[in-house]
Amino acid sequence: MLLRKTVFFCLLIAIWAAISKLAVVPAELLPSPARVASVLGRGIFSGSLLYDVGASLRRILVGYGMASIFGFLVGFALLKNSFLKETLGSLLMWLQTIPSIAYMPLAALWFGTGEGVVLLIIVFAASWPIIINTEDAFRNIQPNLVNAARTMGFRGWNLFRQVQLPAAFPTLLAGLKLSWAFSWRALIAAELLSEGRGLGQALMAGKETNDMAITIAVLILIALLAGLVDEVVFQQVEKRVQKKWETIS
Amino acid sequence: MKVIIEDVSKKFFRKGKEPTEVLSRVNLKIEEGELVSILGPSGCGKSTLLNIVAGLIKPDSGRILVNGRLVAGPASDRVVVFQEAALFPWLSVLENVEFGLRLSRYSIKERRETALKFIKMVHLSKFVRAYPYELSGGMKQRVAIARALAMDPEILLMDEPFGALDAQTRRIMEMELQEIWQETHKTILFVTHNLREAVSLSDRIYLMTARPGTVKGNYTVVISRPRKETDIDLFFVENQIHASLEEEVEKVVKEEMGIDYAVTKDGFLLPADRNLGSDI
Ligand SMILES: Nc1ncnc2c1ncn2[C@@H]1O[C@H](COP(=O)(O)OP(=O)(O)OP(=O)(O)O)[C@@H](O)[C@H]1O
Ligand SMILES: [Mg+2]
Repeated sequence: MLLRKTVFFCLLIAIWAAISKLAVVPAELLPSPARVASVLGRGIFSGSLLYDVGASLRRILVGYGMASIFGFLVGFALLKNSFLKETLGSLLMWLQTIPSIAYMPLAALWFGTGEGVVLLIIVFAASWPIIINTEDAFRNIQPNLVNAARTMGFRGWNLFRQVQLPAAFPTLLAGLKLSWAFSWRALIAAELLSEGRGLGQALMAGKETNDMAITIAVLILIALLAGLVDEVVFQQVEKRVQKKWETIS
Repeated sequence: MKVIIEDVSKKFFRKGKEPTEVLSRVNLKIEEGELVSILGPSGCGKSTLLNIVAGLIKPDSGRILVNGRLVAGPASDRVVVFQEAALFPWLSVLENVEFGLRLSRYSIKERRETALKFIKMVHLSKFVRAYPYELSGGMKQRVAIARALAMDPEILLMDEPFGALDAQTRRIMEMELQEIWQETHKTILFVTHNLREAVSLSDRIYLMTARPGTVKGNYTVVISRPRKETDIDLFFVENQIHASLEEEVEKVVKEEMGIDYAVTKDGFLLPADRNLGSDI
């Protein structure tokens, strides 16, 4: 697995290097891997890129966290209350068909272009998969799993904590995973259009100075940050969960 | 008297449909330490009755008394073993069996000891650390039985617990259940639509009519235990109940097949050891 991945990525970089060496494309448009690596290294060691990473990470963690909690509560409310489901549920359904970045001009007018707007855009984008999956997860719990626990005396909070929540976990996890990807998209889009420092603004810096090495370096950084969490956290947990939960019976 | 089911009736209402009358004035009694079966054709309300005793469903009228106390909802004095084991997939065998004891006053050590005792009783000591997905159907069902026994319920409710198992495993499980029952002398209410199973396990059998289910007959089975499949006495008791049960099964089949039934009737010869209805 790991070997295949390594070989594949090395190959990709080799092709990239070959193209830039042959100068098929002008160097400003496609800098060599070595240059991108050195820009990336310099950015990190000088601390300036690190600062952007820090700012973006803070936003995404707060935004994603808020989206998770908000999405979970809304999803649960929609499940429990059919009136809410028909009203608020369908409103949210319609709203989410609009990419959340489209709210940026409106939000900027109302709340300015500061930190809050970026968070708002993230929460907008990232809570939808959580809402849907939360509702789905609790709706599709095997009734007999809950009934078995009830005949063993479990009720209320105990039943929720010890049976319903773990039974719903795989679907909740799928929602969290999807939402993580949504959060990153919303974050970068919002940062591109807002003012504070962050990876989105760092991308723009490359355009302004006509140096694609910076932009590409930042792109790689984003992919690494978002992908690493997906691979290390979500996929690992998912693997374990799937094996156990697949035979709910 | 351990359990008294008194005049229990139940209708199900669904939007846009006629209400289904599932149970109509069911009366039955179970003595301390008895293993009683409820036998009836598919859809006659056996599961509904069992769930009412468990407190998972409220009856429209009538009442259930356990040890003289009125049943008001689910509680750990009446634990159910379902047809699908309903094990918690995120817990190991040991943790599953311990699960119900989490709410008890037992210390962690006592919980573990109790769980291990019942895991041993169902012959799964080698699998304490295994997870449900690693177990066969029969093993899962044994865990479910151990989990229920660990609660030390007043009555163990079993809803076709071996219904999803293959014939071989089913026999083995029936033998094991008899052993467990002889060891623990639990009061057990056992739901089945399999005549052979009812006869080979029970002290007494309540025969139910087709829907709306009500008690049609009450048979005492006096055959020494453990009962072997080849026991000639079993056939004798089976024959006693057979005709009466057949009538009810025919009602169900007639209702389900409508006029087609007349055509099939001649060829309609069932072996003695058959499943009555569920897989029609
Ligand atoms: N929640 C429910 N809502 C509506 N109808 C129901 C409900 N539960 C059961 N029924 C109906 O009540 C009837 C009796 O169901 P029940 O499951 O008690 O039968 P059963 O004797 O256990 O059958 P089987 O042998 O197939 O398990 C069936 O016709 C079923 O469709
Ligand atoms: Mg049933």
